[in-house]
Amino acid sequence: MIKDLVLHGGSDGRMEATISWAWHTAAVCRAWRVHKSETGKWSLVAHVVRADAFKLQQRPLFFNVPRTGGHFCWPVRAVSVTDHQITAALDPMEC
Amino acid sequence: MRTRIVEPRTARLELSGGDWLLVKEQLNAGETMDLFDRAAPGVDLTQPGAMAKLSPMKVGPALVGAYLLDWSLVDAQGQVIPIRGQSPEAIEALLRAFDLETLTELMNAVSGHDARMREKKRHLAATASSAPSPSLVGAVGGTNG
Repeated sequence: MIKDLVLHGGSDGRMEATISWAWHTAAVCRAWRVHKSETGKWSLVAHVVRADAFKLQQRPLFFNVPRTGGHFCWPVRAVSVTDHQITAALDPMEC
Repeated sequence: MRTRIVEPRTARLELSGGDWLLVKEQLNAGETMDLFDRAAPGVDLTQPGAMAKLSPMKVGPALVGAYLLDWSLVDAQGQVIPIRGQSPEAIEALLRAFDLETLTELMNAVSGHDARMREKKRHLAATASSAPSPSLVGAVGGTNG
């Protein structure tokens, strides 16, 4: 069983990922890094490209990473944006 | 006090042959303005006679692009054509690859949904004093009450 897992958007940090509220884009980010701790907690740290404060307050939110044929997505439990950085607590990946 | 924010809910529309569309339950103000901009650029829909200036060939696909989120339609290899997350403009362009009967069915399904939602909103706002909002449904042959 994998105890500690890190997913990231490539060493150049150019792969964009999004936080969405249904079909609305709440935030676009780069240099994202998703971490699953040994205790099973998922978290996100990313650089903000653009963020919609109103949409980020809505629920439910999902963090989406593009892949062939669709996206990987995680439900967002809590999110904050400070100084061009997004941090979020995530639930386990759903798709 | 009710919220004035349009909650992003979805609806499923059934098509012939077992196909389906997943659409927005209703458009918010921004989506509606973008739709008007694509369907009737430069036309002031609040003016008398404005509807007569609309082209069904522009309005229909624009309406589908505005509402559509996902579907079951497949390509020649039987793979679902991916549209989730695509812009309305990209979806409109994709529609041009279908046969005319399919495009007509899609436009009828979405314009019918739009008309039903407007009727529902009209009933809910029956006591409101504001003027009814303009609709493009008449341009593609539907009714909105």
